[in-house]
Amino acid sequence: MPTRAFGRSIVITGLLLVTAVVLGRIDLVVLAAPFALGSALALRRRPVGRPEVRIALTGQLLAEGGELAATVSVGNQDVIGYDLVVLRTGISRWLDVHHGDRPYLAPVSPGQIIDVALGGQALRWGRHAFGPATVRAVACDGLLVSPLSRAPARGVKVYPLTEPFEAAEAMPRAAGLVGGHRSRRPGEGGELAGVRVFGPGDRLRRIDWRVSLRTRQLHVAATLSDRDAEVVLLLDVLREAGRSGGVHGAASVLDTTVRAAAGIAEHYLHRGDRVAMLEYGFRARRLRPASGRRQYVTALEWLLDTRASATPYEPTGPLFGAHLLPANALVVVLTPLLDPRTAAMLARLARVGRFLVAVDTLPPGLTAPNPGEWAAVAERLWRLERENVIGALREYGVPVVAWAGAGSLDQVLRDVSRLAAAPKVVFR
Amino acid sequence: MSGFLNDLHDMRVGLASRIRRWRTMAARATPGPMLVRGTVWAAGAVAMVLAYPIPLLLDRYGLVLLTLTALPALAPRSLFVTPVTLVAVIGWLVSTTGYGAPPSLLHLLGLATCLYVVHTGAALAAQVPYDAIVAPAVLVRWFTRAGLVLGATAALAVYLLVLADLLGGTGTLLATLAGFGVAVGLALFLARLLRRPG
Repeated sequence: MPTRAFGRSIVITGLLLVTAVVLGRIDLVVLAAPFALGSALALRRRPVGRPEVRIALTGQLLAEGGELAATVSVGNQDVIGYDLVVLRTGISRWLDVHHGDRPYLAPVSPGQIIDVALGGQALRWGRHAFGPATVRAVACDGLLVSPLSRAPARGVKVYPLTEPFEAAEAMPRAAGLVGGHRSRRPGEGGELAGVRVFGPGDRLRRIDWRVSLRTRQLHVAATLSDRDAEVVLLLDVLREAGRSGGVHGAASVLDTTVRAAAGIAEHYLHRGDRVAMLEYGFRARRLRPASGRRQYVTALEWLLDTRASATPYEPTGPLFGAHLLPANALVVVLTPLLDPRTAAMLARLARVGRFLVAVDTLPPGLTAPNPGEWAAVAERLWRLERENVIGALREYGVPVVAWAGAGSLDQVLRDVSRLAAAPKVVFR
Repeated sequence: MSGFLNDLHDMRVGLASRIRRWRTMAARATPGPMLVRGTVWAAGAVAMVLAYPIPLLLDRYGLVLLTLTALPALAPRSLFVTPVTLVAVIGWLVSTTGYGAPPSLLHLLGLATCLYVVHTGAALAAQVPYDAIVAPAVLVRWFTRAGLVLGATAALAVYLLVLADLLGGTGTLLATLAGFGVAVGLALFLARLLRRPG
């Protein structure tokens, strides 16, 4: 496509030559000569093809704060070279690419491919777009420019940085088949339950020869079975609050929720337990329980799609309910307690006998979005009301604890385990 | 009255937004594009100095003319480049006819060089964003090609002016014929180019 310079060269050349002819001035012909010669030399050979552009990402697994490397390649398949190509790449704001927001210019000879290496850091978890990349070529001394060529965006998966989490306490009710938790049911395990008389089905290696010789009757060492447990992480995504600053800045509610969920899932999956995830929001996504490293990777992938999904309705029915939470599972609810429906949901689950722990994911130091004359007073009233809700939940039997990484749930889990051992009345 | 105050407020907000944008542009500007635009501005200023007679430049018109030369550098994609070039040519005609200054070869070549640098520099600046990272080869090749064109122009200028001197009074006829010939040749050439695919 011709540029404005193309028209300018024709207009100036024509005007100067016509004036030279009318006035009989040879010097005006000299002034017009570079415009005419330059255009003629530039336009004698014109490229016909568009430039090609491609985005390539290097590296596979990327976590928050990890280094990202990408290459944008521009190729010229024409027989005429491009004076320059203008390359622009759109990049997500959560990928801090050095000079990624600037256009790049370089000449491209016929048959040549130039590579622009871009590197940076991933600032926040989630699925981010690297691209699209657009390029246009300029030829014939700026008199012609090509249409835009475009490469589609490439997806970049940035996994959450797991906040270290350790919980040394027993599970409230380990009801799985094989695992690492002590249970009170007899079965194959490592915990000695006592010595009893040998019965049909007992294994010979369990025979306690010392007791058997003393009593002159075969006795075996009875053990308590080691069972695994199920942990359900319930993510409250009805509301988002706070401004996320990425991995190096302040955390929003969703940041804390996702990172805490990843840390807790990593801990229990590493111990051999089964972990499931459930969203309390409009979409009500669910990750089925499973164990092992594969489940950990699946859980991280599942967490990438977490986003606030407000709804004016109550997520009930087949999408969400107590029927999705096994009776023996430990339910860890990650919630900022911003929506009154969340507190009601917690109370309902406690009433039907689920083992609940609520983790408060509201960022400390959160301020009102619109500071004004009455903002401080309104915020104080709101915080007092929230404290009341937390107090009411605790009285109802739902422990609420603020998320603080390693050890923040130890005391609470100990209390939950103690409560699980006691008989309780539940409403069905 | 409240409508007027609202308009004033909108103007103030708009002006503040523009100033912020200019400050952001100044902070993000890179050396390559600024070098190109600076070259356009400098070539335009030198062209005005060469084109116009000194008494006119030392008058108040000189400041206006030099300010005009900033327009192609600030807005290379705009229509300002052509009028500024023509203003320089008008100055040349005024200088050589109205003030009777004899056109020397060096003077003429200098003006032709500056006008062409303004044109080709503006063509390059129009394609180079102000915050772009420019490979040095782009600028080197571009201005090398411009240098070749100006070299050919110098040779042509010497040929035409020497010929005009040799032919004496038929210089006017020569100019007419030369100009007409170049115009016709260029028109034919462009027409052929537009028909040919590449």
